Amino acid sequence: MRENKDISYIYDGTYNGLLTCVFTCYEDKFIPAGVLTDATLLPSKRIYTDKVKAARVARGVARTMGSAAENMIRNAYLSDFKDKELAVIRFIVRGMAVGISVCRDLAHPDVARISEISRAVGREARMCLERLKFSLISGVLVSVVQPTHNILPLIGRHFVGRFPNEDFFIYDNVHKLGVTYAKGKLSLAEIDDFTPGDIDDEEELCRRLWKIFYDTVEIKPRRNEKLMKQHMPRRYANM
Amino acid sequence: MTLEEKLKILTDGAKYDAACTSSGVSRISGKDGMGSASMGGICHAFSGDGRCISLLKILLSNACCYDCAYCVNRVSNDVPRATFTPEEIAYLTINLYKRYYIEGLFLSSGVLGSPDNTTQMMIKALELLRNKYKFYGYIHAKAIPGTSPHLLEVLGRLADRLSSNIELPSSRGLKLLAPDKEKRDVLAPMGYIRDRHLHGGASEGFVRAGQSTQMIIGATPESDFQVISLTQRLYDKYKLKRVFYSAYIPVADNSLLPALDSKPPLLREHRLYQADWLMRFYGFKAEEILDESRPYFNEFLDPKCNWAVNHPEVFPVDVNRASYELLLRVPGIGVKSAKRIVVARKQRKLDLSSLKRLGVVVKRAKYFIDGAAGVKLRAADDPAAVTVELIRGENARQLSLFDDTDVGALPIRG
Repeated sequence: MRENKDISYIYDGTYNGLLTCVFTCYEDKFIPAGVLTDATLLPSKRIYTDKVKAARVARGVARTMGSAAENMIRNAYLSDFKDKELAVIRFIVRGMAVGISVCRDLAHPDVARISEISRAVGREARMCLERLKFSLISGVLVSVVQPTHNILPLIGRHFVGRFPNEDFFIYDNVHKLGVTYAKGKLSLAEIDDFTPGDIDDEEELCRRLWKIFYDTVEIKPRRNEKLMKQHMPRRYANM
Repeated sequence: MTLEEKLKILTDGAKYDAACTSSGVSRISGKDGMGSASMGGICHAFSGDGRCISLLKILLSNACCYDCAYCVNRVSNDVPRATFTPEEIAYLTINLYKRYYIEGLFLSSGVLGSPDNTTQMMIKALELLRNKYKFYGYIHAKAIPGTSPHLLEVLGRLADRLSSNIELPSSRGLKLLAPDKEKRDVLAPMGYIRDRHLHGGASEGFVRAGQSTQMIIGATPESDFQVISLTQRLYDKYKLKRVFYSAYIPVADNSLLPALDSKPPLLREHRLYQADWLMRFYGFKAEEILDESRPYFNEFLDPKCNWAVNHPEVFPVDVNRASYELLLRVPGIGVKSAKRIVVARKQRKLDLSSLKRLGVVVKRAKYFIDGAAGVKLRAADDPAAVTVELIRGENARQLSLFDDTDVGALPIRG
């Protein structure tokens, strides 16, 4: 498909909006110069999210490109990269032309890029999932994280598998999103603001015990602060 | 004694054990409790020495009746002693686990009177966790050398992983520094676990995540070749999941041991882990990495690069045709990128820029592959010059790895 260097798309930032952009590319017979969520001074076209068009693209992707491709597209959508929409569009255009083998063509620039984006999202989800900490506040396990990418939708299920009988709440204060597990039900919601409540004596004791363990387990003659910090980004490891 | 004081003492005595992995088993929590395990393991934090913290690594007791010269818990050492009750261990594990500080429990212990007595106490603590508190998280327990098989069996059904430490890379070293331990006592639990696994033990819930061991490096004078040969034998003969190395940290003033002010041999430990990786994932045999005539690692070059520059006849490798096994021999190509190459080359011919997209470290690989456009220097023609280039790159990497360690002070061998 031809690249149009003159026109950008503007969409509402939703997943269906992005898939509508893909649909529009096929109508326009070009790939736009950029895809933005805010108004721009450059020549642009506003794309109105259309569930029916989005569903047609989703069906086409599932049928022609397979589930590995679907996962890559969903992960890429959650990313914070400026070129993620274009990467998704290029990947789908390529994939609809060549079919299921597209995911194996890792050396193709359009496949390599979305694979890179998708892996970066997966990596951060994994990092956040490993490093976050809970505080037990009024009977609920509470955590606040600041991920770069919008990874909260990817991590809730892990904690259900681990704590089926606890209630938990993880808040992403960058993307203003919260994942809640209460009475056995997992849900995701946009939440403008969240401040954890006060901690009680037992929570205080557990933090103290953890600090004792953490400080003591270090082998002092092996001190290597740089290595430690490299593995402990404060975005997830804050308490 | 408060719980805080006990925790400090019993963490202090446990921290020299290098094993902290929580890998090898996958499950989700039962409906009646809490806890899951993930195949690759999870690191929850990193301590100030840059080591991963996955499990709550504690001793049940540091009141050890043995007198191993290299060990901080030896009976002749003047340190405060403490012993946890099973309830205390359960309280710590459950509460730190719930807050997601830890992936589970690593329970070791000094020898309380006898190996069987110690193991029985460990079993009590683990039974409380598993049966009363319905804990489904990861448990790694120490198989104390000399424990009776029937107790190992019980312990192994409560734990996901067992380890019995070989401690020193030679039986001579063991005899010298650990007079209360016999080599056969160390190997007996290993053999028991292996034999149980050969007969369906894992599917019966016995040590599902397999077993590991560790040895202390630098307390005794074994060569690197001896250490990796032993490692190879342990993998082959005992089917271990992991062999860990622990750079000796002086904890005793003893004429048989390095002086108290000597630095831990961190670079050597790092090279051993690199070699261990090559044996587990890259298809290398110990004799390929080192041999009798060259028993020490090259200090300046990682073992894989070192092997490559010593085998110019293998190169250049054609990435578009070479087998997966041969790709793994190319410096700069790892397990992931080799797998990607094998998939991607069926779709199109690969060149340097596509290799970069596949995650290959082209900076290193370019000397060893066919058709690297614009690269004049080739390992096949001038291995010495390639060595110089690789060392230049390695120095930059290593300085960041050993940032706070004086690399110059490490023992030089080669």
